Amino acid sequence: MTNKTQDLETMVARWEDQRELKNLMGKYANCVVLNREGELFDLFWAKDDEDVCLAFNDGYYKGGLDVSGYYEAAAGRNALVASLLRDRFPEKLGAMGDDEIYGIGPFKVKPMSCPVIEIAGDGRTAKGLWYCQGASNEVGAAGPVANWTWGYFAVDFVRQNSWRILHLMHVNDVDSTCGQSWGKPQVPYPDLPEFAPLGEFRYPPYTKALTVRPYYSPGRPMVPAPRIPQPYTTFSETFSYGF
Amino acid sequence: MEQRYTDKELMARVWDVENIKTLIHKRVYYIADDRREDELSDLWVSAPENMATASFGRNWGFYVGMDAIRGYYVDAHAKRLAQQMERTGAAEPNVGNLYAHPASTGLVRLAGDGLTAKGLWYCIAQETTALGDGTADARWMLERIAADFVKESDGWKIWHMVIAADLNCEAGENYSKQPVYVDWDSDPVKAEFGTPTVAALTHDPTFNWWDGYPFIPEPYETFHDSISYGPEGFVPNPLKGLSAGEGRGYMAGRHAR
Amino acid sequence: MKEHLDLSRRIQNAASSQEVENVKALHTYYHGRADATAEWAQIWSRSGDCSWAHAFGRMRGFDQVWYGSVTQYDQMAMQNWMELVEIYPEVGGKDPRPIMEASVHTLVTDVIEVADDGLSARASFITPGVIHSVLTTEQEKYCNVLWERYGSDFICEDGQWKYLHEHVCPDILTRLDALNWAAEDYARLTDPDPKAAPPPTLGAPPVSDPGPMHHPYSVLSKPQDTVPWPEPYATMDNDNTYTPFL
Repeated sequence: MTNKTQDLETMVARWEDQRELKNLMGKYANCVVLNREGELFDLFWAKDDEDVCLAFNDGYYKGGLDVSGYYEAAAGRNALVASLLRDRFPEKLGAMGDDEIYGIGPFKVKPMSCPVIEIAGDGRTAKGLWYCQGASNEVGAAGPVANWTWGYFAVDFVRQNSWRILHLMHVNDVDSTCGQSWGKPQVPYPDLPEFAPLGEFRYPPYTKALTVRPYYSPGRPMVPAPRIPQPYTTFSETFSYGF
Repeated sequence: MEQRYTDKELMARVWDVENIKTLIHKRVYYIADDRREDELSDLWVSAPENMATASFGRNWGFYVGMDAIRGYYVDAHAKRLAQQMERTGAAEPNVGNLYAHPASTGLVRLAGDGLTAKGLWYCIAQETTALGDGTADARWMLERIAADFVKESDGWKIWHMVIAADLNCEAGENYSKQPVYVDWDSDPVKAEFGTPTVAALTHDPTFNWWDGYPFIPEPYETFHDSISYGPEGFVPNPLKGLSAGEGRGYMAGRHAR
Repeated sequence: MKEHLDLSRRIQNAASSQEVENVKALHTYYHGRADATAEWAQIWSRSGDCSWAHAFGRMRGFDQVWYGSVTQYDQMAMQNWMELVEIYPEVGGKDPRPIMEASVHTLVTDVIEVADDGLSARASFITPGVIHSVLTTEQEKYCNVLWERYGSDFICEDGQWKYLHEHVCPDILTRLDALNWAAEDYARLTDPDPKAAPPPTLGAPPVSDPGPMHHPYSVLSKPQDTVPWPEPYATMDNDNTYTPFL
């Protein structure tokens, strides 16, 4: 094999890698729409790597147990929402079992745009940054209420048999009620008694609770976006989106 | 069908397109951080012959040349931020400001000769500006981004750019309650645009996308002025629509909005 | 990586993947001008296998797709123009189609696969969209937010990539920031005098496969997986298509 051929093969392989990473995150977003959080860890994460890390605005889950624990809690919350809706609408949902109703209620669209992807020179890891212009109805203590969620997905990947997520940071600037300005005081929808258990729901505590990214407010100083991936040779040479 | 490019040439072209998309995506994050000076130095042309012909257009015309672009895009913006700090008493620029212009729907045409490229994107964007009273003016901004790119010694660079706004309206407000016709004199984006090098109403959203500008890039062999997203490629539509003589004046007063 | 394919095929497929993105984007920009003629004349296969599906059902074959997507769409634009010109005479002399509305369905969250044989490609997208217009018969401008998902199949004909199948799945329809789509739906469902859900589409052209083929978001239904993302595949067949072949 000549160097020229090797160069061309590398060009092709890297292009296919970045396409695969876009596809991976597209599938992740589709699973979130479909309330398949319970499958995300197995489907997309480097689940045997203890360095896995999942970050939100106010903390990090670190390690397989804590990261998968978050997703299990998210799936449990989906089940709780469905059961509360079944209680509220017995004539429509009352005859349906738990498995049958799972997924009813929340609708969380996290579309991903503006990918900037770098594959490491050694081909073992990759980094990607996406903008996420979300519209999300989690269903909370006030019942179904849609929010605009504007933020970022910043992801480190590791190549195993296929590309897998090593670190994922999903942070928002705006998480604000649709139909209201995020620049003005929010007028919350009143809590509803039929959804009271959701007011008591808590995700597992973060492995490390800290402000990863403060939410937007009219008094917030500018907070830089997660760093744009830069060309790098091996992961130890570059920054991490993990803790 | 005869293949025009060798495998290696074709793969290089694939990466050219990918790198151009990445360039526009990087710009989104520069904007989010309000790194306008860095954007011009990192992402825009730096070869002297390209700097002289670079342009930045909006609905009301074009700034031509990097010096003029910098004057509008960086210097005038910095002045506005300083004025905002005076009004709000903020200790630093951009307290309470937010800039989100995520580019989507990329359509990239790489020239047959591989030296230039053209692209079109759409943004469902928003900008938020602190008012100093604990609130902010949060606005939806819908816009198309059209750009010409040229390959310089250190990679692909933005050469000509047009950002054509379709609408802007305050978040949480009913857009339908705005007056039908935009009052350009009070339009905040127009006011911000100032006095361009070449003034021209390039896109009038009154008729939605009827005016066809910025146009959809077609496949092309080599760059020429008539297909430029700079002012040389803008051909004013002979119909104005908003001027008397095309019917509106005749109906003046018959519809109040 | 596609190491089971020879290098030349992999390179062609990489270029094809980008071509498919351009075809999809062309759809967006043609549709933004309501220029159905350009869309269906230029970027669609005229194969009898082509199809276009929405919540209301699926049109099959180019003639039926053209009738529903071009003929009826143009008719709607012309009727709108005929009424509009009475109020806004300045629309005279202008193409009635873009005057109707700018319907812009942006493309993000793409999952794209090109067949190993290089003859077809499949893609899914989430499409946050807006539909806006300034001059209307109600004399109020509007901007609707329409978030959908797309499942798209493409084929390569004489070296040109063309649409073969499109399945549009509307999920969220609301007015730009004047409403809250989830709270509104719950309020509708709990209203002592409940009203039917608003229709998710503009109309129902003649179809070969009647709908509903997708239900928009409702508090009482699961998000649907009508257009699952494409998996890597060898060739387009009934296991790898958004429209089963007859």
